[in-house]
Amino acid sequence: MVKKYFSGNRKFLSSIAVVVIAIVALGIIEPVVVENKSSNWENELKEKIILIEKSVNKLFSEKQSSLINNSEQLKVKIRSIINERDYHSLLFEHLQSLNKLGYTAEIFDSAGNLSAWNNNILTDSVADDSIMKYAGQTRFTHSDLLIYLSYSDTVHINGSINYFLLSLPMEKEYSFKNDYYENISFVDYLSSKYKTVFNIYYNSSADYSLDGRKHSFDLLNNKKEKIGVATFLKPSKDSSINYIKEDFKAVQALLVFFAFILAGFGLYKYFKKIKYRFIKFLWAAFYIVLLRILLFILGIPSEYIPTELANASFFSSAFGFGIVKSPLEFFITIFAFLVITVQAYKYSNEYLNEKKKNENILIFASILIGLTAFYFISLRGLGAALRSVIFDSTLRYFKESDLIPAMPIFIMHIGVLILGFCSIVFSVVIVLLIFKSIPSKISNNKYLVVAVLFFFFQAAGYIYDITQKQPQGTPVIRIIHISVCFILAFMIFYSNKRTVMNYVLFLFAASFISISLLSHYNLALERESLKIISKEITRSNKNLLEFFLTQTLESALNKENISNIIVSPDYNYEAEAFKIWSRSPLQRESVVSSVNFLNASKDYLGGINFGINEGYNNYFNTSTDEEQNIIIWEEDYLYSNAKLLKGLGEIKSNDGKVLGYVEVIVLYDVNNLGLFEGPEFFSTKSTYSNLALDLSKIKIFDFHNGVLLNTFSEINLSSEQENIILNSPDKLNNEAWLYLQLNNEENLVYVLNTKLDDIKRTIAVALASKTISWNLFDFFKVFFIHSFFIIILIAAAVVIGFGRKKISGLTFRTQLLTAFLVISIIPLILLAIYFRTLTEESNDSATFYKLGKRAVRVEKYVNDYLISSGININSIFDKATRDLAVNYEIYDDKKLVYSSENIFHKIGLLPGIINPNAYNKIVNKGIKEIVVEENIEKYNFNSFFYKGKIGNRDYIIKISDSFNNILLPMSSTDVDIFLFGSYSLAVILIIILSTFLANQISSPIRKLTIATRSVAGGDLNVELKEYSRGETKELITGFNKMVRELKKSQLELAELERESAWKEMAKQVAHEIKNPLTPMKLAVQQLIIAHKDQSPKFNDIFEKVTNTVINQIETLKNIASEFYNFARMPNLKLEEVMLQPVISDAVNLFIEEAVAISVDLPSDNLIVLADKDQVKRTIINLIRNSVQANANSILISYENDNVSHIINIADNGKGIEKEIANRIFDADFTTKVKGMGLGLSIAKNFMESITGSVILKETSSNGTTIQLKFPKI
Amino acid sequence: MKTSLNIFLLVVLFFGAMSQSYAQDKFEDEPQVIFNKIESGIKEFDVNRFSDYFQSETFVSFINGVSGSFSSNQLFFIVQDFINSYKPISFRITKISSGPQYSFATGFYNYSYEGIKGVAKFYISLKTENGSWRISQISIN
Repeated sequence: MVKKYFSGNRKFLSSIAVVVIAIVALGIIEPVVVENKSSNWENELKEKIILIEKSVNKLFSEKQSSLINNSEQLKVKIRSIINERDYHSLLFEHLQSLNKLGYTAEIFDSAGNLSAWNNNILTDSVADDSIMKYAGQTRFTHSDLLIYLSYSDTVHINGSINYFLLSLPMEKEYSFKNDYYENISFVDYLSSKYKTVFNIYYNSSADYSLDGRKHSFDLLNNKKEKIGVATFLKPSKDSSINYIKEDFKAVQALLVFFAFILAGFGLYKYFKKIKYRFIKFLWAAFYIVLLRILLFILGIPSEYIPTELANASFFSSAFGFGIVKSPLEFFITIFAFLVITVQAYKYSNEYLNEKKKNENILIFASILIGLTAFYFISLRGLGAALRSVIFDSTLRYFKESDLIPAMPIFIMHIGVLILGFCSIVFSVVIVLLIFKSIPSKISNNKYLVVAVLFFFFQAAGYIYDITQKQPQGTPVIRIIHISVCFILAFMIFYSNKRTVMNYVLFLFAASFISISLLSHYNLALERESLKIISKEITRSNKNLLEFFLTQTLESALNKENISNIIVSPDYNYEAEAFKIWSRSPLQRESVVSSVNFLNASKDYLGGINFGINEGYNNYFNTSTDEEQNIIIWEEDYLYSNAKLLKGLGEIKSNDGKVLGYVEVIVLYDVNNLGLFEGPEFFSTKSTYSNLALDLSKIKIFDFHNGVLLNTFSEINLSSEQENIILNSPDKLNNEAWLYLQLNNEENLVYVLNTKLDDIKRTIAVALASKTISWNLFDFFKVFFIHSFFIIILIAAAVVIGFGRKKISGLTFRTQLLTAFLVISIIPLILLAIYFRTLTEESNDSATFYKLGKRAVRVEKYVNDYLISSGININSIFDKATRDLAVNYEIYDDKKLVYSSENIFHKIGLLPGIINPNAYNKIVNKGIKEIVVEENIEKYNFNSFFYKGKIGNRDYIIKISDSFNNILLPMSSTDVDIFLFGSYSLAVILIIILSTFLANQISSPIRKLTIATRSVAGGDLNVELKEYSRGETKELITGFNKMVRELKKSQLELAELERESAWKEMAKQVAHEIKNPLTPMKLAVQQLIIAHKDQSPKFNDIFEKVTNTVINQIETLKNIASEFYNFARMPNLKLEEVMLQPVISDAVNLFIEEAVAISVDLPSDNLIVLADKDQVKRTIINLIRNSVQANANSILISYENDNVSHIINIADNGKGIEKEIANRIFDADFTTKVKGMGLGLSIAKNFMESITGSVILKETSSNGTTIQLKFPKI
Repeated sequence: MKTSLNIFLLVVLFFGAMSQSYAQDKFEDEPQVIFNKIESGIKEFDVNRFSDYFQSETFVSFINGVSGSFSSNQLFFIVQDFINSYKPISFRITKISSGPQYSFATGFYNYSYEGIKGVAKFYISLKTENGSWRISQISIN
């Protein structure tokens, strides 16, 4: 009873009930768990605190152990190479390997001087007490900008004591908001890991926090001595309870999802029983849509899987109340569309196979108009969706330089491809349905009909577009979309190309259409970028800068140890100012600014300055904000019409005494276009860096109160052009779009009027029209990714096909195609690699030459001035920087003696010591000049080191491309883009040509293979046609001849066998008949004698003779019956045969024929008692008859009655005439020119021999149906 | 009859004048109204209250690192995600300044992020676009 209860759908319903109970139970349990946690919170808190403390200590110990282990390995390495001739070189190389692990290493010789290093250094001499004092202990060390965990130790080399210092960075005290910055923060790591706020004091004298909400503990070194204090905010009860609630919510969400899936499985059985395909499709679509909505409401997976793909700042659209609000949600929604679309295609294919045709022209017209409208609405939907992909996204699909882009862009590309695929498939389904509904009276000439429909669609599309206020896409894309859909639909409907290959064609068509649309909208975005630029220029104003200034000052004054810093003698104020500046909105917004420290007398102590040329002033108190100790005021800038916004904050001691000041200065320059002009590694991710177009191609003209004051362009405007620009914006919107000829080139110009801070500004942003045009390289950049994905799908399909044994080995065609591709593509790839390598070498040479030239010029300039003037050398170095406009560094052995960008060395961002690699090569190996790759954060740049002479001394001159702009012939990015475009096109052409050639060459072989299979299956009516010449023609002619001979021999053999069998049988019959005839003759002779003799026993003899004759006649009759039975039937090998595989094998023989054979059999086994070969021959025969009757579509279907398995074979051929319909099963009757007409007769005989039947079920000019009835076992 | 007609005309004129004056007042008061809507919308996790005022490209800079110009569609979800992560405890405007084409407001934003409390300062500016006030910039850091 239990088994019965759980059988069938009840199984699913029961599971759903269990899941629902679980959801409710969780809802009941949650408050209990929360209450329990709440009441036991005190104890739990103590445990948590202990756990966190232990865990942090363990982490810290691991870091120390790693540091010490690496130190030991360093010692071992030093000892192993000490006696090598190139010891120093080898040592430098080993230290480079430590660099890769993140360690900073310094080695000191026996005199205590630095002899080898790998990075920035903490100290250049062992005279620093800490190295010797703390040898063998881990401790925290501080550089200007970083805090390290360090370990120093001794190593004995040739009897003398050398020291080394190995350090692991723990904390960066500055940050940039850009892609180059790499955060190193042990505090951030701990805060994120334990979900609380951590603070670490990296010195041994730090105290515990007195705040009761926090917990502090000591950080101990390897000698168990205190070296720092870690403090964290104790976990709060509320946040712990919130985590529990979130966990419960997540589990409930998953259970709801699971219940919905189970419901789907449970309802599937009812779904399968739905009769009408359209209803089935609607239900399937409804379920998928509901599932998608449910996933969205439950927040699966975005809320539970932390990923950048769920970040709305990459892409989000308002469609469907946020159902595509991130790249991940977009992908999931598109995937749901894909499932619905594939269902639509599948059901439409089934409908196409139906023989039923529409004969009503009115119905056809209605269908045509309705579906055409639907077509264009869906096309518009595609356009709108792709517009959103471009406009509602910060991803720049056509600017991405990497071959395989980052995940958010990659997933959007795949989503776009799938969306395009859905559109193409959906549109093809519409066209197919229209084809299907064409009445037969007008469908005689398929080409004419399709052409008329095609032009109708084009016209309808044009009309639809002109009625739209904002058509989506372009006429060209619309025309191509319709053309592609018609070609695909024609292939499927009229040429019966219904294979898996269709999906590949759909995908490539989708890729082409979707990229074309994306490109179209990207061009629109590029135009829109002109508007964005003008808004960005006018975004920054005095109020905003004042806000940033105040924020920076407040943040500086709130710094924990600021009052100690301001009174410390010899403090590196530059570095401190930099730390404040880097974490402020001034860096984030790339504002021209400076941060300075002043003592209590307002004397300058130190600071950093990015872009402000300003001498130093004394201050007078103006208005004070006493609460915040901040004064803000405005001054004129000495060097232009700009203003300086200045802020001064008082740094006070605990007893209120002013110890010093922090000063922040911001330049407010209305002429400043907001374009970043500093070093690349400082640049921020601003609006400019994320434009759809290349900033270097735009021109900006800035008018103030009608006068052109500022330009970002090398073009001079004429007064006429200026007037056009100034008079163009309309009064309501204050903006205008126009075209202007600038330098004989048409430019699209956006003009914006705005008024801010009492200045009427007119900003004109221009871009050459030819720049905003369709670009082949852009197209292939995206096409490459689509193709990559399609190839992966094809490979996956092949692997699955192998796994399911649907593909056994590579076919001849595939081998040919593979061979063509390998022969063509490999050399292409090698060529591309060679070209890229060549370009890189060319770039390296250009870098070497251009930087080298500058170095030599600096050397000459400085030497010339040294000789001719009495200026001191540092002044000459400064003069060289200004006069030559070259930024450079000078090293005396390893030490920096001069830098044009000294501020970066002072703050500690650049080291005060020469690059170790360069030093090793130049000093140890004697190379005169070398280019070395260096980096600041993740910003890589090249530096040219040159050993020169200044005066009588050797110096090393360094020129970097980070501070000196050099133009390279072609950057790596440009090369990659070029290779994308040109080689992708070549690869596509190769694939198309190779496929075509492989098809052509292998076509005769494929036909031959199938024909051979047919012959092996017993079908000797096969004859191949071949129009080519040469060996192929000979092969096919030979094959045809062979089959004819085989058939002839078979017939002759059959004839001979029949004759021989009949002769034998005749002999047997004669022999058998003779036996009873002899006694009959004797008996009759006896009777004659008795009659002649008038024998008295005549009556007895008569009776005896008649009995004998009757018995012998009976014997003769039995002999005749037996022979008849024997002759009636051939030998059949009866066995249990499953019909489905036999039918499937027979169908497979016709794969290459121009006929689409659909098989609609139930999944249950249909088992009959028959001869397997005869069944197969019968099916083959019937299919061949259909093909010969010009059918291009055959449906093999199943019916069930209580006693038989009924197989119907229905075709759409020319039918059988009524007059001959009742003769088709007769032996020797045929309508064919060739053939004996035995096929149907043999089929009939066979079926009857197994007590089944074969009948002509129906026939007409639309086709014929033959019905086979197999009795059930 | 004539008297009734005159009275009717007077009434029509009166309401016409009132509506005109109301419209003008509405335009002049709008920055304040918008700032109030932003304040209440953020406090109550309801971005819809002020999302209609986003420009076609609005610049934002938030504590969570999101920074740049975004379309109004995108901005809706970015702001929504932000206030769902940095849950507002209070959103207080301390200063509003208005001009003919530009207005701004500054203040303090107290939030709770993964159970940890914090405070940030915000700067929100409005600009006129096609005759209407629109939010041009939101900075919360």
